[in-house]
Amino acid sequence: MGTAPVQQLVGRFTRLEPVVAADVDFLYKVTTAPEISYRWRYRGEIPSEETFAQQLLQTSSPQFTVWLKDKSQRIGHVITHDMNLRDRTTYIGTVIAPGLVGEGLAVDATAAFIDFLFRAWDLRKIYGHTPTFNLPDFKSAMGRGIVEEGRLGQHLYADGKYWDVHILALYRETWAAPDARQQSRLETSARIREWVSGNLPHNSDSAAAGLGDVGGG
Amino acid sequence: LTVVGSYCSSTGGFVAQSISIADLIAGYFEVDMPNGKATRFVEDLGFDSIEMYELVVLLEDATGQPIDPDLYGDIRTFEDCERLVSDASARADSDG
Repeated sequence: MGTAPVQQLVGRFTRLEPVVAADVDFLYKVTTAPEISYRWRYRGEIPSEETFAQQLLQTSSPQFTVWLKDKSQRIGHVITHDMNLRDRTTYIGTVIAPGLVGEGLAVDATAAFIDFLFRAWDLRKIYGHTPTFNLPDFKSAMGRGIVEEGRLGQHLYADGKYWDVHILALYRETWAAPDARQQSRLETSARIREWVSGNLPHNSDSAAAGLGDVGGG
Repeated sequence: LTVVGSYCSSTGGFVAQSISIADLIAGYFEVDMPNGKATRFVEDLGFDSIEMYELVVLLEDATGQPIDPDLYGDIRTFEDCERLVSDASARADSDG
């Protein structure tokens, strides 16, 4: 008799919870925020909260409200759309409340969501759309697992001009592969701990940051 | 243990060079610090949100302590990282 597999719905800094009626107010505000609405699901249109709630709660596509992991604070929304179980693909989207963008929370929530999707569904690959002006946010991931598989020229109208939209893909085998970057990070964090404990020769400049007397160098 | 150093031609010996936490972080990301420890990750080095996420994870691993999400926005430079590690170390010492 085995043990049921655990579905990962927790990231490093965030957790994912099923969307419930109590989330509607928060998700409506995020969805209709000026910084977000033009590139999110309603593309600048502002549905009534009633319409929004109906569409949000009636879908069976996987979606979650994103919360800060150890706090009672909603911070975003992760969704799937156009899931195709014959081709075994899906599109995903992540939105984080204005003011928290760029702090890595979207990355964390998206990673937890992708992990869930690959565990719960027999998907081959997961797609995401991003306009050219958001592409720099994927700079470090390009070539490290995420690949561009398509481009819709002059597709998105925003801020007075048309932008290309890039279709990015992540394959299951890439997601499941051992992460050399993680190993490098563990080694670096271990070296920092050695530094703090005084086992690495210290740069005296660090004294200015209050570190010079830590561990006696 | 890896020690950064160089060969000294006058003494014929290996001279250990000092290294800072900033150096270790720069080495992990394979970047230079054009403005020293005041180098800003986003503005000067063009870090994206994935790299900023990696940085926070690295600092959590290094300190063994969670970083309050409210402080993520305060991590802008190498100096900030050193200060964060220092504060975490001091807290660990005071906690015994």
